[in-house]
Formats: sequence, structure tokens, C-alpha cells
Amino acid sequence: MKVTQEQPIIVLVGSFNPAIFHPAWFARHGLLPEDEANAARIDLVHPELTQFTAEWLSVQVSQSRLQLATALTPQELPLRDVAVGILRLLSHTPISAIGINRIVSVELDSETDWIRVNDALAPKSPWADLLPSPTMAGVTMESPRGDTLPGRVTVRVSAAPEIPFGVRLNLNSHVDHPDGDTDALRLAGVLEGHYKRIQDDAKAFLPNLLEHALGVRA
Amino acid sequence: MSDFHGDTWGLDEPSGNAPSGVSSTQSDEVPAFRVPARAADPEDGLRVDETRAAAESGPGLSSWRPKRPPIFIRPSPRSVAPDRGFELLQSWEGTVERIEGETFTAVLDDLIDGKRPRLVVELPLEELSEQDRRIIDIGSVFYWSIGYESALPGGRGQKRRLSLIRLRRLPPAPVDEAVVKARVGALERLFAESDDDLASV
Repeated sequence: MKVTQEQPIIVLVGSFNPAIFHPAWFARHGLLPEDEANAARIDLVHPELTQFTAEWLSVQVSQSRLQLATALTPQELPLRDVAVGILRLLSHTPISAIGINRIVSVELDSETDWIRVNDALAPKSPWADLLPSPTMAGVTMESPRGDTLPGRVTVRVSAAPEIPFGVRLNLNSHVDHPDGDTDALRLAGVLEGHYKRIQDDAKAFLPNLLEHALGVRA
Repeated sequence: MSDFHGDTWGLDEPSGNAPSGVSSTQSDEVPAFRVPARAADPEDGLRVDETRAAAESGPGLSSWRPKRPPIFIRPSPRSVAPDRGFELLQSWEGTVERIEGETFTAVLDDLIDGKRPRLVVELPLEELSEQDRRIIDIGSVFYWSIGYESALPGGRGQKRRLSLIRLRRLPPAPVDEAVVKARVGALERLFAESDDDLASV
């Protein structure tokens, strides 16, 4: 089993003005170096949606949600800093929740392992008489959080067809505003205090889930 | 990443399997925009053209009409974060203690194993990008990662060892006026008490 890619992702849920999130805005406020902002590939900057990619950072902003993502693990903490910076700069913007997410793509060793994971996470017996050849396209599990923060954890396991015997694990760690409020600075504090721990937990949890499914740690 | 998908975004779940993907949640809400997804989305098992056909003909969606025209975005290959493999070997968070000539001295905290002892290192300023060299100062925080970057996703292709130092870029936290007022009030009370004490001497 080999982890082929990890993508830390941060989502802020709130009320945004997508048009302001131009790469130049990030540079002007010191969130990105000027050369990275100048070289950013802008897909769209519009009152309803902004989408651009800087060297390591992908940004998508709609009126209700802002997503920051990177596919480079060394940028995991700079990703958090950009999110915290946005919350500090837009401290009067109502933010109701944050998502601290991680997508991990894994290449299993063999087709046998793939079938074992498939069968462990989505048993075929209920489907056997109903479908000619059922296979797992995706399984989603949800749980209350295991820490003191309000919210829930959602884990989705799905096929990753571009990888040989590939599985994609998507952990969404949803954190509601601790005070049931929309104070952006409070959530900036949550990100600063808990982001690394949550990402570290996700790093350990996701491959372990597959090992459990394979019976390695059962 | 060159085709489109008709789903709306979820709440704080990442939009699809890659940064510019989409969730597979069906919603009664009218999507204000359309976002790109991979041509074949394993989450719904349908190709995009099949998804569209299903959306147009499927039960429950036949009465769906957009209230305003959606925005279609044709993403470029770089519209998602770069899909390069990076095998992280070690990373630290550093704090700059001294800058002398062409080097700087920093204290390093291990980001992989927090139990490891702090290290003190001297690094050449040349290790920093030109932009970071302009803003580095005593107390600056930086991230230092060492690992193998592969030319192709999944650790495939030519590997090269990479040392990446990046200064933390974070605007200062805004001043909390309530806290400032409380502290000013406390200081004023303290001075008033001191004045009373002095007057009584």
C-alpha cells in the first residue's frame, strides 16, 4: 500500500464577496509573495465566483464558501496561514463553520487487496440478488467529533480509477462555530490551535482505515 | 480536468477529489454557477455527458430550470493545485534569532515528531526566495521541508531532492477593542489607586 498523493484543504463557510479575492489582493495583504500572485493563473474573478491557482495554492470562492487547497504537503501550514490571514483581514465577515479536510490517494498492492477493501467496506451480500456485478463506488461514514470542538467528521472512501488498484479517502473535519456565532476571529483561533493536530490525525487515520479493512490490524 | 459537471458544491466538504472538483450532492437549490470536474467522476459513476442526460431526463429533475444562466468555466490544466508527488522526509518550523551578513540563525521545532529536541541552525540567506529575503527579520517564522519531489504524480518519474524554506506570511491579529478598553480601564483604576495612596502619604 502506497500513499500517492495527499491534499490538505480548508473550507470556510460564510458570506463572501468573491470579486475581492483576486491574487493581487492576496499579495497586497502579504498573504502571498508578489511573484507568486503575479504568476497566478486566473480562471475567473466574478461577483459570484472566483477561481485561481497560484504556484502551490488553489483558491475557489463562491458567495457562501471559500476553499483553499494545495497538493503539496510542505505547504500544509502555509495553507493554514492563508486561511487565518483571510479571517483576520475580513474579521467582520460572518463565518459560521470551517472544514479542515484531507484527501489521500492510495495505491493498493494488488487487485486482491482492492477486492478485500471493497468487500470489507461495502459487503456485497445485500446486493447479490439485485445487481449482476455490484462494486463499491463510494462509502461515506459520519460521526460526532472525538475532540471538544463542535461539529462532525465525515469520511468518504471511493475508487480512484486513475491509480492502479487506487482508493481515495476523503476526511472532512467539520467544525461549527464554538459559540454558535459567526465571529471570524474566533474561528481563526480554532484554525491556529487545532489545524495541525486535525491534519496529523487525518494523516494517521486514513491509511489505518485501509489496513483495518485489509485485516492487517483487525 | 477539461470537462464540466452539473453539481453544486457541498458546505465545507472539499469540492470533489481534486481542488477544483465538485461534490456529488444533488440539491434543490439552483446552482449559481457550474464548476469543473474530472471527465469521469467515480463518485457518481457517470460520465459528464451521461450526467447531463440524466439531469435532463431523470425523474425529479425534469422540472428543474435555472433562474439565471449558470457561469461555465473552462479550466486550464493549472486550475488545480499542481499534481506533483512530494515525499516528505523532514519538516521544521523555525524562528529567526539572528541575521548576520549572508546567514541567519534560527531555532527549529520538529513538525513531524514534536518530542525531538529543538535545533539551532545557521542557514545562508540564499536558501530563501528573493521575496522572503526582503521581509525576513528577527522573530520571523518559517517552514523548512526536505523531501523528494517526483516529476509525475504518485511518486513516479524522475525524483529530485528538494529543500524548501518558506517564510510565514500572516497579517497581525486585529486589536480586540473590548480587551483594549478593559486593559485601559484596569490601568486607569491602578493609577487612580496609586494617586490616592500618594495623597494619603
